[in-house]
Amino acid sequence: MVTPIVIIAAALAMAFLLPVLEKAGKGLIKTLSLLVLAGFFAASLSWVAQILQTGAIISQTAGFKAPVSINLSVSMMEATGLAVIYLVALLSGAFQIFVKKAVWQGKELSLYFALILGLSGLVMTRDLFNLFVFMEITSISLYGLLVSGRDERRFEGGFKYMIAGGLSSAFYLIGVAFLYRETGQLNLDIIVAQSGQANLYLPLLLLTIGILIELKPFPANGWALDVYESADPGTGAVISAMNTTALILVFMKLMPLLQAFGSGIVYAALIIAGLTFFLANLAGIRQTSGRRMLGYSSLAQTGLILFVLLSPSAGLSEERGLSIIASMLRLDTIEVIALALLINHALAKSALFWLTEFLKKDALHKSSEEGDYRGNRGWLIPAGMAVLALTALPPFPGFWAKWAVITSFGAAGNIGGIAVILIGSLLEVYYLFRWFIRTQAHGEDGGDVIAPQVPEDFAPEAAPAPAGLTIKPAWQIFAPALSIIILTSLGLAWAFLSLSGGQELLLLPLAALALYALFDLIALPFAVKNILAMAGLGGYAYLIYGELNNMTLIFGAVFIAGSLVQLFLLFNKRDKRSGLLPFLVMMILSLGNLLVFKSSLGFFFSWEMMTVSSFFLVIRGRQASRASLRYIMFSLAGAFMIMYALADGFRGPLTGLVFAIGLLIKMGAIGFHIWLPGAYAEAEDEVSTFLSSVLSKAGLFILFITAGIYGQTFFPGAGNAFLASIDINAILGWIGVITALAGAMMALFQEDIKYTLAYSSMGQIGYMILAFSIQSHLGWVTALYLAVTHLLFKGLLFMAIAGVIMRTGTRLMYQMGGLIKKMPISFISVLLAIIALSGVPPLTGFGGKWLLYSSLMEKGWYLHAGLAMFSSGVAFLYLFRLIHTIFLGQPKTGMFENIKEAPIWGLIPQAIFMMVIMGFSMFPSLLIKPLQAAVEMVYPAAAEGVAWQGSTVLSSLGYWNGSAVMYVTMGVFLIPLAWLMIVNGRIQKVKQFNIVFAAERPYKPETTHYAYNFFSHYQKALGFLVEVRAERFWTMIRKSTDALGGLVRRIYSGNAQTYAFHIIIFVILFHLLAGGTF
Amino acid sequence: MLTSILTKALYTLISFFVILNYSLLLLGTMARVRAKVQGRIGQPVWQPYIDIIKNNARRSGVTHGIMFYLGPVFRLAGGLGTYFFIPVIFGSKIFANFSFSGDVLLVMYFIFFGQLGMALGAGESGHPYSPIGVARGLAQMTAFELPFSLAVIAVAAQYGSFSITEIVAAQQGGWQNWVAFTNPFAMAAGMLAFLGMSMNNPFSIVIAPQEIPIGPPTEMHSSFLGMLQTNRAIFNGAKMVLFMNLFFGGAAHPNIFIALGIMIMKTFLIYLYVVFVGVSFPRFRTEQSIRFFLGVPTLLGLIAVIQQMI
Repeated sequence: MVTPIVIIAAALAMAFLLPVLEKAGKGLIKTLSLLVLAGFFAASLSWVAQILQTGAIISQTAGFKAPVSINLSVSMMEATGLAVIYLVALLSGAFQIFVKKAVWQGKELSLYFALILGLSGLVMTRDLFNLFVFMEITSISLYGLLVSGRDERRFEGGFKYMIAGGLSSAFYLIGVAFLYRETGQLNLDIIVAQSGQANLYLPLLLLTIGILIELKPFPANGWALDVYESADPGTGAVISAMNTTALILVFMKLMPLLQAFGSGIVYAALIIAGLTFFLANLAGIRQTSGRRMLGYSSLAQTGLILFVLLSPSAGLSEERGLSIIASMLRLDTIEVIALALLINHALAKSALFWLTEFLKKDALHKSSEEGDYRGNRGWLIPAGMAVLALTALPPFPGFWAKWAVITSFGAAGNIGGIAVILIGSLLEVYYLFRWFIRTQAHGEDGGDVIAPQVPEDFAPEAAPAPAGLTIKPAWQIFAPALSIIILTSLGLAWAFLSLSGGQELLLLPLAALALYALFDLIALPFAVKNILAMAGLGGYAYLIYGELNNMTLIFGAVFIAGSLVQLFLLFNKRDKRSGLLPFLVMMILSLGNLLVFKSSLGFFFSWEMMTVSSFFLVIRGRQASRASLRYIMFSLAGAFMIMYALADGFRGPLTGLVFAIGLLIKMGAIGFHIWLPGAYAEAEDEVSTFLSSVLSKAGLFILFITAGIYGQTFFPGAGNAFLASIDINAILGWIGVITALAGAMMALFQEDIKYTLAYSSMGQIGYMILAFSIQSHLGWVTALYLAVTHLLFKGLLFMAIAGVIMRTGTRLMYQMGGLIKKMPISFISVLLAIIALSGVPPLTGFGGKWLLYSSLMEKGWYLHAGLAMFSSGVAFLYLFRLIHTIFLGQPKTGMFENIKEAPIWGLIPQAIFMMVIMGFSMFPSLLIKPLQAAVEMVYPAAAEGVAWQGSTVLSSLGYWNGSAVMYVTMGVFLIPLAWLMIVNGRIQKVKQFNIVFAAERPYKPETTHYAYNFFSHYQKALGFLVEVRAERFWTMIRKSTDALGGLVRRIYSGNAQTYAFHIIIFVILFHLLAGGTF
Repeated sequence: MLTSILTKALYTLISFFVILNYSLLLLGTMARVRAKVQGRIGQPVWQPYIDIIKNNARRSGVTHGIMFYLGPVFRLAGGLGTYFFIPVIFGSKIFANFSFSGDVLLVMYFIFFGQLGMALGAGESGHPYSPIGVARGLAQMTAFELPFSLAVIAVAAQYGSFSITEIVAAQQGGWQNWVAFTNPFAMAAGMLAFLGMSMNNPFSIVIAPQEIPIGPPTEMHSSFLGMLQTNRAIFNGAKMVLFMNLFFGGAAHPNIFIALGIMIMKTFLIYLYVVFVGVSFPRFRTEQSIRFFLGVPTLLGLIAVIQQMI
């Protein structure tokens, strides 16, 4: 065991010795430095172990007790904080020594050790004046590090840093002087213990301001941004991770003093911290420089940690993992949360700073210059994980800490706190993900430039994505990789603690991710990996089967059996497709976990895992950068609303509505739908089918299991009967039917087949929402029926279309035509699917329509029924267009000759789905009876007069016998067919282009395919209904947020004098907020 | 079991025989009515028979592929199925057809069966005019479907049933019980939609591509065309029977022949109304007819539905 003072001494010794030792050999000092840094890290870990046994380590200097001499104290918080600092110090040192082009020499290393000395002292010392000394040491050494190098901007940044540091030290020192005058003491513990009546407002104000300025509060943080932008990435990591961590620990040290003597100051700091978090994120969205953006994120995260620390109710959470960790480390829950946020930020942010070192350039302007790391796993994996960690997504510590904070706030009714954190986080999500997406965008990807709906031309899919830059040698990535590995392990440990006790199953998606990523890594052939994926899904299904009930079994079949069948499609191609299966299996397992979770945390964890995995599936598309950004933004916005509602505990109908909106966003309901077409269409063709047919049902399932909260009326006491009847279900019903109509309408005018199908999915989901909101036996059966059949026919459509796109190399329908001759099986598959979708008897679709209208009429929702009928008519239009322009009519020149039927592996899952559709069509009771059993518990059939008479299902309004319809249809079809074959025996088959019209044979029959702008007359009549309103609305939101961000950003002029002025403003503002007067 | 199946088969044949002959004669009659309006003598009443026999006897046959071949089969199956799912004469076993399979919703959706199949068949021929006709037809269809469905919803809400038999039963006991009088707005919306459904003027733009020499039905020749003509008769008959049942009290009488007479009279008048409108107005463009159906007829339908809600 090392006493803390040894660290100070060792660091000091190193700082002095290194320039001398350098003469003996450069290799020597590098090795020595790393060894010493590793020793520091080991020492800090040993302290943690010791403190667990003996309590805080107090080290007296000069052999006297405080106040005579200075004492150093390391308790659990300090020890763990120092461990973080030393870990980053070690990695950062190694990074600077081995990776950088201009590696650190004796001079820089000497400064580096001086900095570590300063930071260690800051954390350890209990003496306020001594603290000042260490602050100065930190400032000077950091300044030295900043300006090492020849870049002019660094001098400027360093200079600004010096001004800020000087002002901060000045305030601090004066504060210390006043404090000494009032109390006669400099030792923190003694001052706190002497609970005198002295008025410590002014000294504490100055003291706090001094520390806070170093923590870069709004608006006194312009200097920090310039520093982050100009510093080299290594130094950026040092400031962001090490400095911030140390200063927050200092602030925590002062907190008892502030809480005892300066409640006004605590309040002011809380406000400033919240403002900093929010405004830094707001301004961050305008950044074009990657490092400056990371700087904004650092400011924000610092603000967040302070905000959480200072909020009185942030530590109320009784989350299982949190309490276990708190009792293990003997810390308060609030300290554990702060620690988790600190570690999360320090490791993830430093990893990102190091990763920017490998980028070609820092700017994020032109999309064509981006995409450095498309397909380069070594860079992308740590970068992606760091972004996930910073945005508090599972399984990283930030996720658990944020959950704890939000639920604490919810329990205390602190809605404002929740709003600040969630809205600020959403902004941070926006710019961090935008940055990440751009670094891996395909060269041809238009980025988030609004692209026209119909591309001019569509070149065939390029097989391998260009890898862009590579990191050579690959080990150079070690620093970010290691820090991410450690961070992930910590997060997993927390995950395990939280979910132990019955919910371990929820961790399986992560295990699957790791396992299938390993298969990718050892380069198994894709077919083998796919078989393993199927086996994995099968095994998972077996695991959870016992836990499913009637309702979850149905969704289990949709999620897992539906996916299992569609996995056959992936045998289609032979290339490696690294990363596809890990995320796909992870997504499916997360969906499955939605069926078996046992706590709201378990639900939210699985929900976020599903979002994350599906995001990484969407982003794989060649032109998916815009779509994937929208996808993650809307998904997380929805998730945050869900989180709020969970934290609030569904108090009142408004919270229920927020929760419902969270789900509606995920389901792509009208108004929130703009993410949906892009995500479904721009994802890879084999992935789209999973997203549309499987993933889209997640929100519906959650609607079902939370059904109890949607019956709350908004105006329970209203005298008016109509007002009193308005509940969330009424709103859901209208949203559902309008979504159905809008989806169908928009599908109508697409030239791109995948967009057609995507909008069609949106419409179908609308029917499901509508049917759910009816809240009756028949309504729920309808919703489930639609969910199951949608899986079948939309899966069929997307899979068949994947084959067509694979063979033709285009997604534009008008470029196809006449494919029935070449791809007959795909044609049959599409034909069955569109009959099933449109609701034409005798296939399954009619059952859905019959159930829907019957339940709507029973409910008395006649207008909904009328609109639903209209939208199902509109669905005919796009369905006919789809099948006609692809398979019928005339093919284009050159397109026809070389096309074959889709590969057999694409046809197998289609054949399975077709058989299931036919089975359900012949015997609808096979499907409907289990669905009835699922809803029986909530809405018994008998109460509504729903009954079976043989194979006829009776509602209170009508009846339907699916089997009889099938037999009659077969009869009326086969008899005329037989007749035709008898009278029309000698028929002559003519070739494709053998046509005559308008009394002549066309010179070029290939040009006569009527396909482009198929429903121009419809557009003339009703096109006004589908103007891009939602798109425009959200663009307006984005632009105004952007503009606000720009406004905030404008105060950071880059002028050092202005920055100094900001600091003065900050001081005055702080003083006023703290309740001070002049 | 066997006897009941055989009896049902016999009844079905009778029902089919009646509707086929009646509808063919009706088509011939109406062609003469039109001719009279236009100052011509017109074709003989039995001309539809001649056409069908002639076309079926043709020896030439050209097909563009399987879907093309099946198109007319789908079409006729659609017509027959629609007819067979409707009870024609209230209380008659012979003319109950297969109405036990489903209610009015089934009929509404089965109408699409033949249209879809035919559209696909015509599509495979590769002629640009067929998809043009289909696109127009479908677009117009969605538009008149709205007032029609509102009308059906209003009627179903009025009687608390989707069952055609029950709707007809509720209208018995005199003309004042017909939907046409108890729920006039629903009847008006439905009858305006019916104009679109029968594709006569002013909503005949759908068949315009056929008038230039080649379009869906005329590309279909010989026995294909014969089949389509058969369907045109049956499908027309089926739709008129449906509207008679929904809005005009159906056809009911203890004496089956009188009941048939009532059916013939009512459907004749319904068709005459269509022809009357057809000869009086010129043709709409597609977007005009869409706007028309989504205007006044939809408004009438809405009024009918809202009446039921209040």
